[in-house]
Amino acid sequence: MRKMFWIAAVAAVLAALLVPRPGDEARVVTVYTSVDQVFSEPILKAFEEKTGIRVAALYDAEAAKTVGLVNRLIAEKNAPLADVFWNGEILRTLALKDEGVLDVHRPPAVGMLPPRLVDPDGHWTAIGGRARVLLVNTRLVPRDRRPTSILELPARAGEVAVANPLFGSTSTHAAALAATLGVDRAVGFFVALKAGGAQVVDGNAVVRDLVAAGRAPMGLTDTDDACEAIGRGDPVAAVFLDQGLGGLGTLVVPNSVALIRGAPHPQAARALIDFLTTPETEAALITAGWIQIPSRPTAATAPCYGTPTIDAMAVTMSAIREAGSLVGPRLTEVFQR
Amino acid sequence: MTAPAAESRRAARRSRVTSAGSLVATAWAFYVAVTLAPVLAVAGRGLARLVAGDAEAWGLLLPSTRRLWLLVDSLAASLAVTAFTTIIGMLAAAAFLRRIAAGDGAAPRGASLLPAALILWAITPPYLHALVGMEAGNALAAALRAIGLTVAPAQWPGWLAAFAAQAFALLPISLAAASVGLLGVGRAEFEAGRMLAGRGRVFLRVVLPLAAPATAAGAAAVFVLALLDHATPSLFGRASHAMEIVAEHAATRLAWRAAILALPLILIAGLAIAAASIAVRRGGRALTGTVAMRIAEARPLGPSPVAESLAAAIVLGYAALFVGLAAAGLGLGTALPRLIWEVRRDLATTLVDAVLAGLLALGPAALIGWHLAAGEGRAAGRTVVGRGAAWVVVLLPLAVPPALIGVGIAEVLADHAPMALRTSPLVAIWAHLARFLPFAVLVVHAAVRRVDPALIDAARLHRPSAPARWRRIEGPLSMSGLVAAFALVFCGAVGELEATLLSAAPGAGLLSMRVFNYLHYGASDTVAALGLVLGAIVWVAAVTALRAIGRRRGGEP
Repeated sequence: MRKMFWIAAVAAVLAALLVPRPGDEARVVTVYTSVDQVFSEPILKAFEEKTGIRVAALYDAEAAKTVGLVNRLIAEKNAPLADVFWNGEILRTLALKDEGVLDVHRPPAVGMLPPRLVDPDGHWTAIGGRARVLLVNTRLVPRDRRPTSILELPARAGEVAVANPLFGSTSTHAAALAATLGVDRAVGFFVALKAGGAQVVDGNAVVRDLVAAGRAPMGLTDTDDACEAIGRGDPVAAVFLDQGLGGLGTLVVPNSVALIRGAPHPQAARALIDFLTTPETEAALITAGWIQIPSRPTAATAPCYGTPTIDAMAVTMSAIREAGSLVGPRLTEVFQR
Repeated sequence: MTAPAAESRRAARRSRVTSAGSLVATAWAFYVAVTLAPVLAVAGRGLARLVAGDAEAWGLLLPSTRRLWLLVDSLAASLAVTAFTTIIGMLAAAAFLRRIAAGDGAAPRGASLLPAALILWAITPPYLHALVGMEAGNALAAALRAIGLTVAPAQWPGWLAAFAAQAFALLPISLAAASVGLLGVGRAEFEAGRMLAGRGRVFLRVVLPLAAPATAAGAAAVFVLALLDHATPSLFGRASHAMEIVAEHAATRLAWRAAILALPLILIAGLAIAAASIAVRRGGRALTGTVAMRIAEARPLGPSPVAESLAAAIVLGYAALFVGLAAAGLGLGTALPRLIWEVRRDLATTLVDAVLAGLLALGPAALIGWHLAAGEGRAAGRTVVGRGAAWVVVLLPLAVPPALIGVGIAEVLADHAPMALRTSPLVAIWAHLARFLPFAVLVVHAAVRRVDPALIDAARLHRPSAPARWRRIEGPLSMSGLVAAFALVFCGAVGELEATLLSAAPGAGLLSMRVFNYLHYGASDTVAALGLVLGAIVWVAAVTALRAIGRRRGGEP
């Protein structure tokens, strides 16, 4: 009984230490982020060290990715817990703007960024991103058999793995294809992949692992996931599709950062957004392997790719958003029902 | 004695009885509020839509081809895990028990080690088994590459990896259940048969039917845990019906949709638990005495020495692999203290949450455990329907997918809780209690049933007040059960993931969530070290509890 008492007493003291005190509130910022924890946490810790503001982070779950966090933000719209949304892609941030979840904040870095990465209304700011690549197993797909265009994939669907296009950067990819090719052709592309026997899996990391293990000869994924496999010595290569004159170009999916409307800690939130959009943070994310395509000149080089020069898909964020709202429900019918 | 004095004494007794009754009622209310209320809240919304004939709701309940296939696939995978663990568990249990009984001395050392080892294995968080599988797969691939086999796979197929991770995580449950079943079969019961028939035939006709209730209970537990687990399959990129609940909620943020999707799983799991409960009640054999005594007496009969040795080799081989890889984690040297320092906040939150969850579970578990046992002892005092309803309330939470528990808690908090509570790292305690309070009740109940009723009846002759009776009689008699219940909730809370992931407050860093997030990038030194820390916490807690219980029982488990 005495032992129980002491255990209870110690637990009560520790619990009291963990419960936030009124004075703590101003020195806290809550961020929801779909950037993988291994990449985002060191950045958030650096912010804590620099400012003394404690960051309470909510990371996503692999299967639901950004969508889970976005729907939570929408559900909490009238009583938000989050101050900042740091998204590993852009499509869902655009949706949040339309839902009225975001507030205006223009960080100082806006002047250094290309106009397409800055919301004219000030609701979000984007920084460098990841590219969508075709990861191929070099033992199963020799160089001369590797596709050069994404449009070649439906004909070879049985060799392809792809993440569920309702979630994550694959959903942004679907929206970008819809904006470029038209909604019907984009939906037809994914329907043909599914009907042709493509493996539709839970996330880009799973695509990576399937290709690395040789259980899928090739798969669409992001540069950061591809780099993971390349880095550990798997027999894989990343192919940037649709390069060259007249090609569709490769989709670059930028990170986006936004202030939540009614954020409980607006000052700390603005400080965090300013920090996340600095060139130094972008350089750190490039060096860490999260960002491969910088948004502004930098000396940082990405592992696996160095400083890649690619032809990016020519599509505006507003076009992605518009097409995404049309293609999303139709893909839901195909992949979720 | 004067009439007023007698009346006053009777009134005081009635008051004590009433207050004890209030306490028990409060415990039941707490139990329902913690374990069932969040789920009923979201399920109620779904059921209301179904009753109203909502086409969208019925569309979810009547699964599409894809969802039907997913359900069938999940059932098949769970049944495969159950079949594997039940067969290997039975064979290995026969081998181990006979080996221990064949040792020297009346109370062989193995008789204490076997249950302890099984407990340590069972309380190890399941994703640590996934980590071991990843590490083993990587090591195997590297070894094959080193000898020139360049076609060595980088990973196992997802279905195989998920099967192996779940099967080896749940194997100790089957092993323990089979051991209980075999120990309940007296030697005389099969030795007579051995005069007339072969070993395999006697095993099938005599031993297996007698051991079946306990074995079936173990099989049901494994089946339900495998079916409701979404975390392990998702680590290997394998879709499951339980994962569909998470995905649906994430995609729509409509909890009622998640609840309707969960209904088939709740129904199937509920039926499995009910069937196992009935089997145990009708045919289960209570073990008397200590485990060591039973093992020394039993010398159980297995079906085939070769098959038993093979099963024992599989069990020991995996255990050696696990221990070896855990020991390799210690070889991280200076990296380990650095990592522990880096995650100190997560570590503190994890420990505080787990201790508080364990302490909060004690009161309700004790009161409900005793209440259930008292009802069984004095059948006339309560109707069959009442006892049945009480057991349904206790067991129903075990049939609910942890993902739905998480969704329910998140919904209730979002709808009703103040900001301070929604952002508190202590929110996870609710998820932990919702998951493990039912187990704590079962543990206390089992401990109470071991108490000789004559002891309690003798003590009651003195008619002590309810608090005094608890302090002097029932408390000390159930102390072993309380220690076990605390340890179980503590260990479960340290490793709990599925409900916590969906309900934890932002910034509520818990070690389990960190390990799970990191595991999605594959095995690494970091995740190995964090896994080792998690494992060390639950193993130390379990060993401490076992020692405490052993001391109370005079050194015997």
